[in-house]
Amino acid sequence: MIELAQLTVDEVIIHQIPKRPKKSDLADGAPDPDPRLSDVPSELDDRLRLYFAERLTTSLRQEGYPVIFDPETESSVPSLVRGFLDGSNDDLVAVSKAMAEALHRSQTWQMAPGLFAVVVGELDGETYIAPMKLEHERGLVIEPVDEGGQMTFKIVLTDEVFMTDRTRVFKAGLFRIDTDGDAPDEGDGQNGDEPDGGDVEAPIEGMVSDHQTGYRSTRTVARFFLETFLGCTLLTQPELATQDFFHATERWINREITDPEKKARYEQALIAKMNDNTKSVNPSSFRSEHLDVGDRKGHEKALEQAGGPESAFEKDTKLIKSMLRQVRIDTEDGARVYSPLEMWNQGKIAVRAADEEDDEGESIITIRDKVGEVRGG
Amino acid sequence: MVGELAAVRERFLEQRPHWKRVAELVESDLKAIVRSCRVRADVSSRTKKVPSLVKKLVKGGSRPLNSIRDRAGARVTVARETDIDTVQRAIRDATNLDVMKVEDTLDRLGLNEFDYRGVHLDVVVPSSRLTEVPTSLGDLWCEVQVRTAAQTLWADTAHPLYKSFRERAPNAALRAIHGLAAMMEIYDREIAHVWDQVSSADGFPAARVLVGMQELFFQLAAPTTDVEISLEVIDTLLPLYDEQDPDSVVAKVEQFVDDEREHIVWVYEQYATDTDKVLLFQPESLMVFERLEHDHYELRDRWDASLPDELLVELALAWRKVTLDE
Repeated sequence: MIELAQLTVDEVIIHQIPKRPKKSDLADGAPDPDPRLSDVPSELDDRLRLYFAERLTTSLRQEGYPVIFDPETESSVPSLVRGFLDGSNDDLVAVSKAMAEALHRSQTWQMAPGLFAVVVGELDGETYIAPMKLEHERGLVIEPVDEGGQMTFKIVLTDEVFMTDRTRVFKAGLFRIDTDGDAPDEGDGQNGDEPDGGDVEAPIEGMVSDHQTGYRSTRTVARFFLETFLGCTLLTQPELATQDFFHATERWINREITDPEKKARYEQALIAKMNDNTKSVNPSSFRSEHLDVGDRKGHEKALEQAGGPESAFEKDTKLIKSMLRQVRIDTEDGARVYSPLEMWNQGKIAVRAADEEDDEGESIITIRDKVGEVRGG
Repeated sequence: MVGELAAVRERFLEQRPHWKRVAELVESDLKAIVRSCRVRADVSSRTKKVPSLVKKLVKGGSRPLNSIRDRAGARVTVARETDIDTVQRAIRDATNLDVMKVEDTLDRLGLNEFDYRGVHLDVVVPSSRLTEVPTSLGDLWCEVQVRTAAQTLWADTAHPLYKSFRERAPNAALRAIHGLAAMMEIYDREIAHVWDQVSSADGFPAARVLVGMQELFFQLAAPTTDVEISLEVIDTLLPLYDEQDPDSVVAKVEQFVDDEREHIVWVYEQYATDTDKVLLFQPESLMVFERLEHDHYELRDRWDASLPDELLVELALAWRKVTLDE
């Protein structure tokens, strides 16, 4: 994982990406406007530099996935990134224009228009390049005006807002040459292929954040920026990240949480999260939504010690499907209670500590249901 | 004489940009020295104005230009009188400046005399540090004054009156000027006394912690200080610490500063011109950074109960190592 703490911004260049028409509309002669390309980087003062640095760092930290370039990709972005970073093609204007053209060509009518920005700067003494797509946000601009001697506020609805402190339509990638030597070679990545012979290129490490990978996003939209445009693939397979998160969290619940009610509540929340419709899991958000304040840091540390995912990851429960159908409680004396998640959601099953005078640390499991069969086993 | 003065004036005008470099270099050195002393102080520099130099030459007869040792000047204005001694010792110990003379004006005052106060150090900047400055300037002298704000107030307002009028003003007027100097001494003494009383008062741990944070902070960056805000933030943060007494809390934050010094200095350098982040250059920001690293969930939970969330979000954005959920 790239450490982002001391990221600085040197330059930003911005290009405008228009919406593409549908193929059928194109066939009918609808116009397909070209991108509006900048010829020079935008002017930045210290305040803007810091703002871009903060937004980029926050976005990648909250929703960033480690990525590598896919050796099979047809995207031109990997070679543009490599050329910029190794100095063989470090003309920012030309490189960013080529990227903008590539983005525009590869978009379909489904993708929103917006701005394409390329940010370059330094991270731990090394140059990075960060392509970003920013989409329009609507907002109100309100300013005091004098109308015929009377003060009022003029309200203007604008589509010209592209980045705010709470921007959720924001896709960013960040790439740099891996000087630590911990990024896998692109040639022998996840498939274990041997790298081709010939000159050894410096490995490049990267991160991509995409705030649009929510439950409403189709896989096509969600993966477009990562795979089609940037030509990347996730470094960690979603099913492994999901499995690691699930097991590390369950281990932590059972080893570190002593309150039985809390144990059950957390396990229920974990299984519910694995089963819900969202396409990704953000460990920090999971903690904030489901764990008591005093337990969040402990979970964060446990995940870190277990080598689990520290930032958002794409969810794929295929390896843990069998463990998500119900909640199991084992007691010290050998009782075993299996219960569907719905019973917990409906409040039909609950766990609480036994009476305070009882020194045994025992709990009471309450099940409210019609009794069916009772048999020996 | 007139011709000589005109020639000297011209020579000094040519030299003046170089003396500005000398003054700015000494200012930079003094800022580093002040940080190492962990005291609150303002550092400034100046290059002697041409009229002021000419007046000095006129009053002093035909002195050579190179004999004037305050063509470059710098001033350290400390918050407390006790800090003067700390700072002047550190200047004397500095290896990149040659301290040629030290004068504490108190040494020339009798027990019943009240007059100009301050410590003056005549320093020389080794020429190897400013190789672009021509050797015709001679030794690169700079006069450094170390004073409190009250001493500076008297020096800037009352002292010029005294110097101008002492030959002809009525005794009552001159006595009043000296009376003001005495008041400035009492003022400095009482300010120090107030801080001592406040920081050692029972039931006011936030004040003791604030003093500790200030000492830590002053070595890292030039602070803005709104004491009222500081105390409110520290009061909010103190329950988050397991340590019961203020000195232990200060020690914990001091350890954090030692461990994270490189990054802390980086943050303050990056945001040196930032005016948006209200708390960033307040001393208690060190406690916030320490708590962000320790347990940002508990910090935010506690913070949101009494302080605006956006102030914490701003600090987290500047710190960069921890990202708070939106």
